[in-house]
Amino acid sequence: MKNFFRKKGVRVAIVLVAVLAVILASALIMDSGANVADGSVRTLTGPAERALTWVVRQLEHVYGYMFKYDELVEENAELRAKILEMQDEVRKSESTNEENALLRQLLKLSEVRPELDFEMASITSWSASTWSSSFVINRGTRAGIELYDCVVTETGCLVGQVVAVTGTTATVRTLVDSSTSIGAYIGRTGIAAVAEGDYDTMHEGVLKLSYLPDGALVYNGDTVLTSGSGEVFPPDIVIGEITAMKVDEGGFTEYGIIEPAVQLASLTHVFVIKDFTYTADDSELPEGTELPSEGEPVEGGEGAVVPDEG
Amino acid sequence: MAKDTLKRIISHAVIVLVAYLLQAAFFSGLKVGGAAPLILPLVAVGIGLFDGGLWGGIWGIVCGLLCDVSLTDSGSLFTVYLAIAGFFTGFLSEFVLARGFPSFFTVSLVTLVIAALLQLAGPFFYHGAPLSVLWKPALIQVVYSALFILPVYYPVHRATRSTRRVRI
Repeated sequence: MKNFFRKKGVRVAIVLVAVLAVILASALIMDSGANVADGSVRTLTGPAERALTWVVRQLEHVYGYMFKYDELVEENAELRAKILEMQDEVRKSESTNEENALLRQLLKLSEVRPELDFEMASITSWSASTWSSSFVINRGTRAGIELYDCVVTETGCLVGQVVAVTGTTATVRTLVDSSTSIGAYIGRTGIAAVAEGDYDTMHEGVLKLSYLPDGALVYNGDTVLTSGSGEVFPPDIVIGEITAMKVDEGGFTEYGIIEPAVQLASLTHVFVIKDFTYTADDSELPEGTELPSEGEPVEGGEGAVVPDEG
Repeated sequence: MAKDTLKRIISHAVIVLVAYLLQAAFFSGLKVGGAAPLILPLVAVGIGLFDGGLWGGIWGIVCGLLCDVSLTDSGSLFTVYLAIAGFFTGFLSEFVLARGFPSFFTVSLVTLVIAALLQLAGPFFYHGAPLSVLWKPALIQVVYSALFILPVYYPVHRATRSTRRVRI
């Protein structure tokens, strides 16, 4: 070897310098950050490198299973906990969004009806009774709710009335309950009547519009609102709309069937009207409002025929 | 207090609580034809039948109280009625009734029918509602509630079987 380098050292050095020069030149010419040697070496060793990398990764997996299992389990548990937390946050945010939507709706109602003072409440349970329609809310006297307060939805549709109240809860009788009796008028004509429930209509989820004046013209789709008479319910709260006219068993008195504007089955939150400014003058009622004579039902006359609007 | 008595009280309390939750929170939202089932009266007469009149009366008061809470419109009707029903069923089981499913079914059905009649008495006598309107929901309530006689029988029977030696 010594002889080889001694004899041919200069030639070997020249060849090496030449090779290096070619390599450097190719790197400069190709301008790709790689030279001919790199490319060649990588092409040749690429498959082997990939194979080795795969083997290393597999070994890392095995190592992970063998030595990092506990760590992974812990990490997994942490991630699960985080997911649960995030799901909880999503649920809360959904609930908050829902509440916000209701409050935004209520804000619109408050702008239109500034005289009404609202308290938001959630329904905690429905009455299991076959003979009444009521539910319990999570607000009571501590929130300023009083007996006979009116209960509405965020859009101002009538839900019912508080009939029992404790410190933290209140029982609300819905508008379809058999004992409901509300002073009402028909929005289109201003004809006054009484919206009342009975055992028959309660199970169908509707209520009656009784004591209609003689010759009253009532159409399907007519909106029925509270008249405010009696000072229990604020005026102009939407009760529902007329869906049919019927004649009582005696065949003399006609009454309307009111489909409530509120979907009782889907209610989750309600708003209790804690206070409202009552204006006793009839100017609150639309022009032409006729109040029924108290105590005496008005028989439906020939005029009380209800053709379909369509 | 004897261990068996404590065990009996706890098992009965659990059954009553579950029955209350089912009646007040679950089936109150699953009304059929406007009628919701009454489960607590079945528990009261079941305890009376298998454990005697005193236990029947005591748990009858508890069941009745919870029933009145869940119904919201019955005042104290069920507190009084179920106390009497539980005690009377226990009294009958000491002398007349066999402690088995046929007796439980019969007593439960009678209790449900009487409960429905008591409930419709208010609307009929005080509000003048016609019977033609009242009988249908009353019948649905009885039939709907009767569906729970079998599901109530097993837990009540099982809870009392292990501790039946105890009599107070």
